[in-house]
Amino acid sequence: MSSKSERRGHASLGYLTKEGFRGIRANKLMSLASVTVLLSCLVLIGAAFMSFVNINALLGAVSEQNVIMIFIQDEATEEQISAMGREIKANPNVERCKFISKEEAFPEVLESIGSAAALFDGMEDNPLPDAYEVTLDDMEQYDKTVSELKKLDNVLNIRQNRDFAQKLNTLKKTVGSISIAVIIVLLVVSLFIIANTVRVTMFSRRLEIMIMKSVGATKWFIRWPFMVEGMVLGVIAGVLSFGIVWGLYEALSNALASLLSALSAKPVPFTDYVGILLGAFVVTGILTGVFGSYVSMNKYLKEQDYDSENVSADHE
Amino acid sequence: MIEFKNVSKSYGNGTKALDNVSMKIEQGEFVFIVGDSGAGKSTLLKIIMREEVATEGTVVIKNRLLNTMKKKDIPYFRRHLGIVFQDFRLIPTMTVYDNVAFAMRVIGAKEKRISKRVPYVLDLVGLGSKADSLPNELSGGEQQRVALARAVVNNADIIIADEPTGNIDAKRSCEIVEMLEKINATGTTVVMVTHSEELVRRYGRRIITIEDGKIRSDDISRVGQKREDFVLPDLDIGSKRAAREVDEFIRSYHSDRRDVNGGESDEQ
Repeated sequence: MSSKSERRGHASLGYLTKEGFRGIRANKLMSLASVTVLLSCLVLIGAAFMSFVNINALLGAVSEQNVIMIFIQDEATEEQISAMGREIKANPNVERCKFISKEEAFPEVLESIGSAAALFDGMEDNPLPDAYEVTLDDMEQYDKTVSELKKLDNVLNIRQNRDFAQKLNTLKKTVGSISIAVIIVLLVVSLFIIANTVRVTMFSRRLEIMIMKSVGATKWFIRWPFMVEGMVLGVIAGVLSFGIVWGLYEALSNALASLLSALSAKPVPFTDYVGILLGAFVVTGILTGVFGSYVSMNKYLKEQDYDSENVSADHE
Repeated sequence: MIEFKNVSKSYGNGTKALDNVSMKIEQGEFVFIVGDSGAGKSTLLKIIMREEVATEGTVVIKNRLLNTMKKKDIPYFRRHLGIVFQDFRLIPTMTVYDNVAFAMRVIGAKEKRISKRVPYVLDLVGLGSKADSLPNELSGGEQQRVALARAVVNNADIIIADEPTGNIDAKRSCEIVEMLEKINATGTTVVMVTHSEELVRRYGRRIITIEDGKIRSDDISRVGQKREDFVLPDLDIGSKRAAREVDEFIRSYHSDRRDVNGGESDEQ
């Protein structure tokens, strides 16, 4: 009997994985609790993210309407006008630049003033100037770009709405920082809750861990099933919360659509973010599950629990 | 097999749990370690299991020096030991079979070997028919036999039984000790810790008595002997129970069989 050699046998990954799934079945209630906690956190994170995406898109849509009109002096020749167009486009902060001739602009103006258009009926000459409609790229450099554009030749006048642009810019930044803060807080909260939940799970299984240690299971052998368990629960929570966020978003975006149409904007289609969200949810689920299990495991592996008296409370 | 040389163990709070303990247990021996609670038995066991390390002296088990053993080697060292606890420590959600198989599975044994070995050890402890029962469907004695099966299933060289009879009645206690003797007969070293001197005196085995962290007596002369030199149970002479105990003791002494069948005293 004493001739038994030390077996440094490598356990099959299959067994360890199976054991992880068994853990989930054997501890249904704790598994359910872990999934629910993780799921709630992920749904909140998803909601915060989709709100951020929508507010951002909305602000983007509004800011696109904030264009600068550069009116051109009547004396300018066609050549000068096109030279001007090239110079505008050369400005690094100009995103788009569109020429609007007085002939194009006139009917539009007439249409926008409605019945008052009748006043212009007898008018032969077009009173409007030619213009460039310029959309800027970076709102932060708004003032600088406007003054640069003013210096161009043949500029009659520039119509701008500086206050509006700046307010919009501040709003956009604030929304961005709030969203990031909310998402970070939610992530920290979920990690904390998950670590606690896993600790409770571990506590309910300390008898198993203790027996494994006493019969000579290696650390990794003890850890692996718990980590598989954490991983599986993480995937389940990730996929479920993704589904919930999608469903809620679709339901809400119908209501949102009518609200947003007033601002001539549309809710961002969820499908734009399907990949990112699903990936992020599953990865977050797996990482928190595995990390939570690993950290809580170590506590139990270090503990000298040979005589932890409560160990037997489970089965008596 | 197990050798303690001038071993002392102090804890951070200043208590000295073991004080200059030296002992040697050979392979195939059956040893009782007796002492009151707090005498240092638990510390002794923890040092054998390498849960604790001696502060002074050396501990050698199975030719390994435990003082300097690396952490990663501890699990492999533990596979030489089979441990039985006072509170059985069976997993309540697993059947008897799975509880025993668990010990093999977690050290990576193949399922094929497990399915041969587990029924064999369950038969050995007389629980072959209870393989599919859950622990709470069994009596205390039966549960401890399951724990015993789990301790031997990996072919341990040394069985460490820590108060294995502490939670079961006297009659069943004898069964457990007899089973340990049976296991010992196959060449396995058995170390059983108990506080019950009455129980151990029935068996004529080596008894190491611990008191205040020191070895008070080591009855090494008993090794290999049966009941040639016996000590009467240390009882309050005159009491009814004492009379019965002495009676029973003498009866068992005269019988050739080592087992004591009539342990009807209901102390413990």
